[in-house]
Amino acid sequence: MSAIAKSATVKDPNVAVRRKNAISTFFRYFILIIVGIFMVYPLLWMVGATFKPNNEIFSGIGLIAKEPTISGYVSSMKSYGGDINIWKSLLNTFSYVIPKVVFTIVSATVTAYGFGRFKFKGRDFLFAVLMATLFLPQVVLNVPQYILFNKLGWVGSQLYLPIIVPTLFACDTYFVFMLVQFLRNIPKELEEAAEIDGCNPVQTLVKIIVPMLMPAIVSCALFQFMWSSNDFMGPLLYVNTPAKYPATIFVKLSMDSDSGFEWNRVLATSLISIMPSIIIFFAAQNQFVEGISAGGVKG
Amino acid sequence: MKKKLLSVSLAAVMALSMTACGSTAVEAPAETPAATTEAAAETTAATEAAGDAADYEECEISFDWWGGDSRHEATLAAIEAFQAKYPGITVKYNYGAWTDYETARALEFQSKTAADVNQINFNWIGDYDADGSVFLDLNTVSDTLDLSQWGDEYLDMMKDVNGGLAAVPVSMTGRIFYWDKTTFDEAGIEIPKSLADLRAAGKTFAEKLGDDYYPLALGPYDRMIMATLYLQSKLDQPIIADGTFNYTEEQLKDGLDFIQSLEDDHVIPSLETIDGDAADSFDVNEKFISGKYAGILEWDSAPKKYVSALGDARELVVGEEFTDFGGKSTGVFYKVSMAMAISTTCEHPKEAAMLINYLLNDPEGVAIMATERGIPQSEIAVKTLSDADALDPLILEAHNKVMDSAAFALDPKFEDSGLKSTDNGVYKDAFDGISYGDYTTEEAAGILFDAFTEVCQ
Amino acid sequence: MNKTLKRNMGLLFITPWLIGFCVFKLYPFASSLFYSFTDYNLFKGLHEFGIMNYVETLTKPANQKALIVTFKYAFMTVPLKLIAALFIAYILNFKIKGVNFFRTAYYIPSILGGSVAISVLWRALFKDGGLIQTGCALIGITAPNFMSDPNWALFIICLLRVWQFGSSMVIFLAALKGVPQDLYEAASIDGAGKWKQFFSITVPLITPVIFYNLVTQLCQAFQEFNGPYIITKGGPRNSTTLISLLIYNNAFRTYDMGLASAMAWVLFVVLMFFTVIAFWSQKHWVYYSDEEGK
Repeated sequence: MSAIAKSATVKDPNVAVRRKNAISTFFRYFILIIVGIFMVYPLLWMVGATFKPNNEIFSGIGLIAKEPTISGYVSSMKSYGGDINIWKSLLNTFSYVIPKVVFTIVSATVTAYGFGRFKFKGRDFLFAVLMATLFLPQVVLNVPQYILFNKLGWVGSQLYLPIIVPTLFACDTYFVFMLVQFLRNIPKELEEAAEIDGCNPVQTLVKIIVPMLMPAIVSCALFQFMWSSNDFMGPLLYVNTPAKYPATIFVKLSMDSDSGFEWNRVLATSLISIMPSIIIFFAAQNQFVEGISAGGVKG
Repeated sequence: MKKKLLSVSLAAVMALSMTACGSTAVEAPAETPAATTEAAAETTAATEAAGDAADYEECEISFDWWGGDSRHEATLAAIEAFQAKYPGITVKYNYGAWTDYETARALEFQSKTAADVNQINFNWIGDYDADGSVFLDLNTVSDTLDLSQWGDEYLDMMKDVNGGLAAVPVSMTGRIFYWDKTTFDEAGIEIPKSLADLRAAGKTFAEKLGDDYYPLALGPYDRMIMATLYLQSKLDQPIIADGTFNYTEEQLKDGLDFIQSLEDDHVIPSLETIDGDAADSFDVNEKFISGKYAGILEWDSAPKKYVSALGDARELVVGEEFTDFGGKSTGVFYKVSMAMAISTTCEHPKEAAMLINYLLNDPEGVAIMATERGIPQSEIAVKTLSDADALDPLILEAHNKVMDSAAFALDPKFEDSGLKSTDNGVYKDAFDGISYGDYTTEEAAGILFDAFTEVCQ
Repeated sequence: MNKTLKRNMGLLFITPWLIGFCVFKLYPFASSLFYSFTDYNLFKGLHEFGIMNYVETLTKPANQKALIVTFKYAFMTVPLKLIAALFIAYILNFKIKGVNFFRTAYYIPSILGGSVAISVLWRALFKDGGLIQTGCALIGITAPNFMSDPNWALFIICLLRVWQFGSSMVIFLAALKGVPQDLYEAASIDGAGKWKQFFSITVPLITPVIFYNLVTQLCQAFQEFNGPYIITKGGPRNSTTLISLLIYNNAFRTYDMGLASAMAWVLFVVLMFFTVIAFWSQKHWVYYSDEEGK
């Protein structure tokens, strides 16, 4: 009797715990899946809708087109506003995003190296200033920057000067901040060894620091690519010629114009415009995750 | 491993983007016929240079305009013909829909980066060329641009502060009703010829077709214009004349009450309903396209884009100006619908003037443009088109009805961007406010009155 | 190497940033303060000095409304986003199969959400007769007209931002991974339930990350522009006119640069106030481990 009772009391909690665990595991997956559907469904629906005829798009909530058509894609190829179509606008986007990315990683790395590895008078103060600019809203700067660039004659520049030039000077401070965070965790021994071997600071930067910082630099490049390709306000203010419109503005333009509202065309245009971002995200999602975690967790 | 994966994927992306480049390069000639003609034109220019007597420089000029699809197509055709006629001149062009167009151009005028030739609205001269430095005095190119085709009274409307001729008017325009006859047929009633008919139609629509059918749809600015027609008729004087605002607050309130009564009688949808359609204008509004909004109050020059939006299934007809607003006249006004101007920054004003002259005065260009910018004001253009029987019957009918019943000219101050802006303009605030129930008509009248007084200072 | 040279080297390396800071940040920042006390209009020039722009910003009902709407927006999105992010990160931190799949699914809206394309999608979802209304109709619910109902319009703009909780979630997830497992084990021996553990161990340990997310999200929320500009154009009845959109409208629709600058400064002061509060308050609730105290 007592043995049975004993084994029951031993067994019961186990069963209860296991059952409890099973229930909570179930709930975890349940929540994850439900929330996941809310996260992803709109995007999948968007992809599906681009293949639907216009009268089918809002007739149900299904993903798969009943009468699939590529007419949305065909009409999204149409050039609009003169010398511009979706492909050209994507090329326009790249033509300033790529310089922006390159300039940003170079200038941000150099600045981060200066702050992270040298002691000089006023360093702490200047670093505090740099940190403060992280909290300086771009909205406050838009108007005076516009007036400044206007005076310089850069507004409507065919070379996207107002968009590109600031990145030469590490103006996206977030990346400097991110790189400084990484730099802190890199041991200084190698640099000291290099210095003893007669490397000057520039050589040290190129040969020692950059290779070790590479994962962080790649993250910076990826984020800058994403943010710059999504940027809407910059081109809205500084690009006036349709032939020079980037994809973001082109999407807005093609949404506003044209007779009859063809949602499949508009959604197809939108989807094409974010394809490069989607591809890059899937190709390099670990870099994104590591990059963003590093900025937050170590700060 | 990770690095390797990344570099592989980056390579893949680059390869993809390169194929993207490749495909555009291949498609480009097919997509921009202008480019090929340009090349062809250059070769002909080279071979025929000796024989060509026309005295102009080979150059590139730029041209910006706004409009709907049909205007774009006609203008593109006219540009090609112009380039064929004057080999060596290349026209670069930009066009767009009205939304956001004005802002982009205004900033270009400000930064002196605007195109050489611009289609402009008549209030732009005062708004964006306050010191007369933005638009070229067209008297300086009168050798090339035949100004004698316009009556002095029309050219006078285009003067800038220095007395220079900032632009030439393309056409005159006023607002008139267009009705979707198909919907009225479905409701079994005639299209409205008077305000009384319209009110009755509102009731019939709700009963026979359903609550989401309206005989007329008016956005905030349309409401302001409808109120203006009503008040100008009733009070028999223009709302603004020579820069002076003529009405009192009480009179404005009367106009606003009138508009609100239309909404209450199910004649026009509330602005909340229209906002919910998520369309920037009626020609892209699904409810207009499907006939649920069966009428609009539009510029006489504008019907083509609505006709093409409706397609073959539905018929758009020109209505009558109402004569039963309660006054002697119809209250209808006319204004310069759009004008052509040359920027002072233009390096080839002569060739720019040639383009304008081609579009507005040259029988060849006029025939191609036809009535895409409304019934032309240039005398030779009107003659050319009527001789060729090329005046679009719909536009001609609308234009004649407007001009026959027009009682007043519209002052450019009425279209001041602070009043008219579709984002933060006073008209929008006042009419949205009433329709959404935030303002009484009395409050809204006060807001409008203050704004008019400020603009007309 | 000689010490003064090395010192100068450091300055040399940060010189580009210093120049950029002075030209593209400090000068515009200072000049905007100047403009805010003028009636500078892009087309009409500068004629008057005074505090009229600040008076107008703070007293005109439309401007007051924009400030209120901005507050509503920020205080709806930031907590919702952080709670969602922390909650999902907490669940993902259990040994979940396919954690990478879920992480990707949750993260992708953050990457794409800021683009115009997604704003266009949002219009398709929430317009009259759009996907959400169609979906609600299928299960017998009459959905409101989100785009034209002033009570709902702000909500869909908020939702667009909350939908992008993935980036905060990833940061939380990394932080949760850093919480030592033995602490949990000790707590469960003491009989603390999962929820108790969460509030008494997890949350205190990751307060620095909560703080970081709070401040960055607050900064972003006060600057939201694309959503209201593209989806609702600030309407209906200015119910989604956030201050950044109002600044844009005043600067680039009516070209009133002085007024726009004054509004930007008011926004700046408000944001500064909250940032300072946040930094000041952190000594009461943010727990830094010894070696990394601030």
